[in-house]
Amino acid sequence: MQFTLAHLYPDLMNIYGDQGNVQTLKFRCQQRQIKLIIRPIRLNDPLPPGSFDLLFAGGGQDSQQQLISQDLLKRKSVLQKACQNNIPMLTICGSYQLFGAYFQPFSGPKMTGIGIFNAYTVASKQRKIGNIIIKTKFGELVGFENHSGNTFLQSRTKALGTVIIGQGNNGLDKTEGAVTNNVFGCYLHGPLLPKNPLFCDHLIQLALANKYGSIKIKPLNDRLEWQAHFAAVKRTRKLHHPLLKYL
Amino acid sequence: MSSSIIIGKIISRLLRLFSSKGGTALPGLIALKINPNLINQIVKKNQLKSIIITGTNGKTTTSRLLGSMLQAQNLPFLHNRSGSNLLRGIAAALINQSDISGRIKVKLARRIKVKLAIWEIDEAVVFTAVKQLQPKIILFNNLSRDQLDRYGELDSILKSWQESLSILPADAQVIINRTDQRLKQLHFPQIIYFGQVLSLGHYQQANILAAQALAHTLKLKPSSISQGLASFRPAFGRGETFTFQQKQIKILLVKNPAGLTAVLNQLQDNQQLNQPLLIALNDLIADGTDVSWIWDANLEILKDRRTPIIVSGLRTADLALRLKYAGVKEKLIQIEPSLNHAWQKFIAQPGRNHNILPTYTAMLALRQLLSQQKIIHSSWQD
Repeated sequence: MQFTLAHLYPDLMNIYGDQGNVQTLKFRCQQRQIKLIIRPIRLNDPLPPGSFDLLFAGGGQDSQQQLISQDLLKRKSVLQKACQNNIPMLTICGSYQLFGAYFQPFSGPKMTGIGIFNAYTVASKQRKIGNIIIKTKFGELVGFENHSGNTFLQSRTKALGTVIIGQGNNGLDKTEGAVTNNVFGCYLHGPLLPKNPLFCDHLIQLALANKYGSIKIKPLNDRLEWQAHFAAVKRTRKLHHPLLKYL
Repeated sequence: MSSSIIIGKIISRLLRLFSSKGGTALPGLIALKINPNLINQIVKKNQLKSIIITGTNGKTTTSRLLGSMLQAQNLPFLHNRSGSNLLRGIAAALINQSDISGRIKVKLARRIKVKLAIWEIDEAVVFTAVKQLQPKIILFNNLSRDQLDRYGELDSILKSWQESLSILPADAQVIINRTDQRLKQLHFPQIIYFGQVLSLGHYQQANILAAQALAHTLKLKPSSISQGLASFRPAFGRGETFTFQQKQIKILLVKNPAGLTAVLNQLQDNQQLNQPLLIALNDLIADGTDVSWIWDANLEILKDRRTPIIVSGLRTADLALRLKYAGVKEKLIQIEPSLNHAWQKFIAQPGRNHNILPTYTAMLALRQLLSQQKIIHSSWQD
């Protein structure tokens, strides 16, 4: 078995170790003798419809976001089509924002997004920084958020999860991330996938299902993955505790 | 000014009385709360000529190298040691060194007035530091990803650096590392560059060139420069070696992806990739609360390792997982969250060159541990 991962803007959109997600997908495929072909897609690189089975895009700074936003708009129809065809995609932070309707940064012009998520983002003065735990249908996900943008979901777009500890989309409504078909967006760095192996495997499963029909991928020895997951959850809870955090 | 100095001094005394951790920046923090302009007032009163050294990596070593050169020329100077490189650290250093009227008194064999001050300044507070210190010289070492949780993004730091250049006294001298492409964006009517022939990541050479550039700007004698380099002793955790049970032990502070990668390259260059290795990752404020940076460091350098790696610290499990995905065999990844246990296990490993790679607070904890066990002398400067 093999499938292709399009890694959007690997140089411009990778500031919080987000490429670790790609590394994790690759590693977990390798362990199962699944060949993962990684295609880096930089500005102006062709990305024809049907050329990828899974897509990943990471976070970046405002100026990098500004750089990619025009390029991303040119890919709007290809990506929307892929979304309709249930191609799985994972977008983090800056990319997540541009998969919504628009992002209004603190300074500089408003960036139009590709509207896969029915959501918009407005920069706020208060940066939301810290460990975060959210509850999703893939179990609890743990990571680290660091964003000034407040994202608001509108009708028809579901959140990826509910915030247990942390700020999430906007610090107000307890939602975090967004889901449309098999396209996921969220603010979780850390990176997200290494410490949340179920979610990583779900993406792999979705990509394979489109290509080979429903198949079950074999479980791996995830001792260290779960150890890191639960240690991060424990640490987050401690740092959030009104008294224990001072110890 | 006097009242804030007196209060600062009292707190400093009390801290020394009740805590073994002398030299904290708390007195500075409180004194600045009372008198936010304290630093500027003391600087003016003493006509201090300030030198600011900033950047992601190499602040401490560059400052200490310059210090060593100044000593070689018998020039007295102030220096904010102990990694207290926020404004409170500067204030604490000034309070400790001055009398209650704010006059600087340094005990010296000869009575020479202190005119120079070397300030290691945190990347994020350069603007306020420039405003308060009105420096004569400012040196930018490099800029790379470090503790984004605290500093925000690189662009905003660079912007604040440019803003600090715009309020710099016109006669000030700006020194910049030419090998760092990002720093080329900084403008000032006259800039002194260093490090043209370097490749980025060779910090030790970069630090030496930076200190030399500073020394030339200060017009130090060539003999003082070479003598200073020869007598230089690294700070704790900055590559100094000590011996324990016939083993050479080296502590190499790691703070960010670029620094960690550079240290691993150094181990490779020294053919020490299979020598005993302890890595300790903490996530306190001084370390950076976001540990995702380890995924941007090239830990893949360790993938063919044949001997155990001891991992420790508050985020041990994150580090262990990172090593697994770097390709290190799982059975070689030995998890010891307690630093004491990690040290015991580490020192029992066979080998001649033992390397410890701690983040900042893990390094402080390690120093305390080693001095309690009388393995190192407690007076080791940082």
